[in-house]
Amino acid sequence: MHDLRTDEALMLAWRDGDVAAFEVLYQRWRGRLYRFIAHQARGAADELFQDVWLRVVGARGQYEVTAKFSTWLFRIAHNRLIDHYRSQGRNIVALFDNLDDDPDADPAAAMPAPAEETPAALLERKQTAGRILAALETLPAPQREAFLLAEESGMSLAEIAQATGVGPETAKSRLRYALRRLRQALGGRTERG
Amino acid sequence: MPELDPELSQAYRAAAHPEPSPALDARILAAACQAVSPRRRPAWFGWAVPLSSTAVLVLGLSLLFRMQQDAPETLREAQSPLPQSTRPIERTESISSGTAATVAPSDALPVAKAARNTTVLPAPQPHQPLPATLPERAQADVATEKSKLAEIKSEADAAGLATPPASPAPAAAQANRAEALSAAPAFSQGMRRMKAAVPATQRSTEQSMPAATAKSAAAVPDTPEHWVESIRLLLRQGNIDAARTRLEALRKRYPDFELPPDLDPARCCPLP
Repeated sequence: MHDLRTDEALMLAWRDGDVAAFEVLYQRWRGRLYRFIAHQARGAADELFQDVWLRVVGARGQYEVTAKFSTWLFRIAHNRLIDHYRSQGRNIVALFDNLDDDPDADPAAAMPAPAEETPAALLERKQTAGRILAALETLPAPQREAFLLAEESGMSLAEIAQATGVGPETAKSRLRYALRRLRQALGGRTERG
Repeated sequence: MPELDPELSQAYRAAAHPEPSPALDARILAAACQAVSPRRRPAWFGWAVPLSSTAVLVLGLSLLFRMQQDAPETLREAQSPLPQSTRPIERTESISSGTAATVAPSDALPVAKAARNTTVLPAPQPHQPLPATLPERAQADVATEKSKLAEIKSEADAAGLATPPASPAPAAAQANRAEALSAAPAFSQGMRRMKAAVPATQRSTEQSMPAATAKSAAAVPDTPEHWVESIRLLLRQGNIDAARTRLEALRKRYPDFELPPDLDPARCCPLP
């Protein structure tokens, strides 16, 4: 049976002791959140996914509706991913910081892709649906995150900006360049609009 | 929602997407259930509040009862500063009944407790200093009891049971004293209690009291002058019959003794 309550109402119900409300909420977001994490940290998806939900569980008593539940949830996931990147010693965190200053910059274009995984090679090698996923992996993490947030959570640009802690223009720029690179990977089409 | 490419979205969604494993789902849901379920308290915790409440209630009631017991004594002390000969018995009754509910002032409580020690307890603690009012009361009690003894003795004399010998006879006097004491058990009991209650210093003070106060009619006369003195004391006390009886005894014992004019039977104690 479909629960028509909003995510926020379910979260408040669970805060007041309704375990079934949490189960509904979890079923709504488990796949999308998992994909959001798995496309960015494939080897640690389970661990990060569990950590994010445990943080949600731990914040139950203090939960207040100050934003959409999805924005709050993916903000937690974003922070956990940043922690994960830091723990891995990867230089991705610097990308998250530096891109905010120049929304028009396209670091993806400047980054050399692996020779065997260039979009052209992927198009030739894989004519399957998995082609897009490979292209996704080639994206810089901030742009990939912006695309995944838009696809998986259905967030608006403002919400993406809020979840990732950047300005709306930065979020818009990241998403635009992510889409352009992915279209190129699919067939060399140019960005629409 | 930002303007996404539908073809791109369709291609993305058509790709194989990972899902969390059922085991992972179970762990997260279990954590959520555990967070909501109330913490279990130890079994004895449910009894803690009733038990502590009962203990406080019992302590409070016992304190209140104790204060109500002390209050009537203190009130009685304040109302009757000079004791009567029957006072110890009355006080014991008042303690057992415990009807008065007046709360005594705090500074009067030690006096009340000391008084209770002297009347109820058989052997008060000798090291405990008694309040200032108690020795005075003890003196008055001693005087009263001695006068009572004198009355008893005079009655005994009248009955011819304990006629004093002409010469000093300590053994006979001792016998008379014992007889008088046995005839008045309440009096002897009170005397014992008072002697035990009065400290040694007070007893020495009592021994050094003036002769007129210390030697009452209870003293056994051993000379005609003492007889005269005791008869005068009886007359002053208004005990005419006893004075007359003792006067007759004096005349029998000392027929040659010349009576003073104030003890002329026709003047001092005429027959009714």
